[in-house]
Amino acid sequence: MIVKLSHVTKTYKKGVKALDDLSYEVREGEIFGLLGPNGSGKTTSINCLLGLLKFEAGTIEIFDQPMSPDRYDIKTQIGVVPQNVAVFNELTVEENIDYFCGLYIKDKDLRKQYVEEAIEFVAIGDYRKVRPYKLSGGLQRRLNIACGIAHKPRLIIFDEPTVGVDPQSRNKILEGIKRLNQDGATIIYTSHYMEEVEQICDYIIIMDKGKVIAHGNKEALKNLIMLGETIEIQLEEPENEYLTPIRALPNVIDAFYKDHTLVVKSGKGATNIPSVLAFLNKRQIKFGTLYSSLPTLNDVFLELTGKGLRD
Amino acid sequence: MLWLVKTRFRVLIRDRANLFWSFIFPLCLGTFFFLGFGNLLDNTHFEQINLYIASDYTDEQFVKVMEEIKIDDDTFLFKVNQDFSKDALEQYLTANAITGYLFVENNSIYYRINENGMTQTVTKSVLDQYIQTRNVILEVASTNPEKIESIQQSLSNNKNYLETIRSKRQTSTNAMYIYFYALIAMTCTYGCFWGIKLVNDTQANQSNLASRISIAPTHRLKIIISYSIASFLLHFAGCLITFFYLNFGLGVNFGDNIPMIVLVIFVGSLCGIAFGAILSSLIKIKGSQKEGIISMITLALNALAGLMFPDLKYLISKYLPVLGYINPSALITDALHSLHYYEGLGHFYFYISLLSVLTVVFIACAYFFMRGSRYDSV
Repeated sequence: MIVKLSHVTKTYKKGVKALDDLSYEVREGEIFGLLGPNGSGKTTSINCLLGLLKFEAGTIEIFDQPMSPDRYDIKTQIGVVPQNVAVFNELTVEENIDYFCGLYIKDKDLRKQYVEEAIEFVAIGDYRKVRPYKLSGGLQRRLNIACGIAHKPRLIIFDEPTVGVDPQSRNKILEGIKRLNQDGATIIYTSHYMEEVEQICDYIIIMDKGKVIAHGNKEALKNLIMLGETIEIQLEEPENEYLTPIRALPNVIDAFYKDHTLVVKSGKGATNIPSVLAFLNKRQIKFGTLYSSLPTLNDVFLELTGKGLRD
Repeated sequence: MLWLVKTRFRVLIRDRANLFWSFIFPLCLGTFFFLGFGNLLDNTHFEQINLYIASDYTDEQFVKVMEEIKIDDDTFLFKVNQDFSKDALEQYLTANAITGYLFVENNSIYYRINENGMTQTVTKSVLDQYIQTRNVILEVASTNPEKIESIQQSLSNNKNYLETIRSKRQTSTNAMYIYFYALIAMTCTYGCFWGIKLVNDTQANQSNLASRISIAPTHRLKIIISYSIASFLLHFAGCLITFFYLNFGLGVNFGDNIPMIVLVIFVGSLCGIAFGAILSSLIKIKGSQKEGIISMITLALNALAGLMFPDLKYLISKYLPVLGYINPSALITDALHSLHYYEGLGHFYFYISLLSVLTVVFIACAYFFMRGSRYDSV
């Protein structure tokens, strides 16, 4: 086991319980997703794991060894890409990567090689002599990643690395994480963007209020809930009187309007759309476009907690 | 370790804000002080006293005596002026254009002044002696004329029973020097800004950067020591530049014991950085607000050490001396002052010892606050 958190409880001074008997395990070679809304305890659990935060109860093991702030042998094998860009504005891109790599790698020649590889990995070679504050947000994020991975760690923790990043840079970051994983690194990836977690993670835990509320791969998580399909139909003249008979249709869980769009939440089954369309035709209700979508992790979270991931 | 110091030095040397406070601002303030009252520093220069005598006073012998009094071989004490009438002189005195004037009424000499001062005291002292001597001679001439010759002989043999020994040191009691001592103290205590940066970059609960550094497998103490060494070297250099600029560039006389002055600056620089580190650890606010609060505290300490009003320093040493003993700025100022002013090093050793103890206490406290590696929150 690469990481094992057992019954970790952390309460901040103001009485806020950030982690409530939290347990999870990360296996070697996987991309492990920690999904949850802001304030759910993702970053707190990472900080406890890294030995930065005190916690009242529980144990943490990394590489099957108990973790503590002075376990430098364990720390050597960990790379962290923090949520906020954390680099020296006084140093250039290259100097920053060299500095953070130097905290892990003492051999000068090896360090030089690793720095070059990290620069190449995040494609930031054109800016190697530039100070970070002169870079765009996306480039700063790439530098942030390079500083965290240059020393080729066995375990890499990405804490919301795509916050405030444009879609193009976001895709590059996600592709990079997959490549690192393919090269042998175990990844812990925290995010409140369910699409990202769905896209790259092998195993996911969904957190809320410091607890794990669900875990498994994405298919397993989606099987946890009743929702099987969401049908959205644009109506010319939506009437409230339609809702009650639609809700009475077989397999329908709920029906409501979102502006002029009728939203029908159905359970798992192959005949959901035909039965809704039959109802509309029977009542001669005019409709336009129709969409059908499978449940997302947000739906899982919504059904388990009664609120959305970004609420 | 050396690599850490070198890299940290590279970071600090590019920190424009802190470089300004350590290097540029003291030089600017020193130049400003020098331009403002640099000419008041040379108190070895004696200014001749203008002695105004009302024009109706016709005792030529008195005027001649006044004109011939010398303070050394080349310098006359008075520059006698008899161009104005008593009424005119009264008007000048009222308008504070002159410090005083002499006039005669009923055969008595009067010295009229508005307020006391060095010029008035010296003039009055000379007049008292003149009148006393003249009265003795007139008295003897009227009662025992045969003894007048021996009296004159006795007066001419008047000797000093106290000898003035001028110190070999070019000392000065000029209060203006306090500004420059306090300026050096200010520069030393502005090491607090390097202390703030030290804490911000090593304490995980202070910045994201520090969090990142804290999770690296480099020993925490090694990071703190190497960062401290780099901060100290840079700050000490800044303080020395300020001192050498004031001493050799502007010609402000700090005395001739340069090694001891460098020692004061050495300890003062350490003290400033440690002081900033303590405050930065205690004040939990992040960002520029914290720097603002700490710079206000430092400025207050420097003000109490006489940076703005030298009198404030004397008032504190008179009524609240303990405050002076725990204020690093005041101790640096006093150590420099004692080096310049006193012949022996007794006073200096007292102040440098206090400053050293305070510095050790500050460093110990800073270490105590910074040693933690796990936090309640980050």
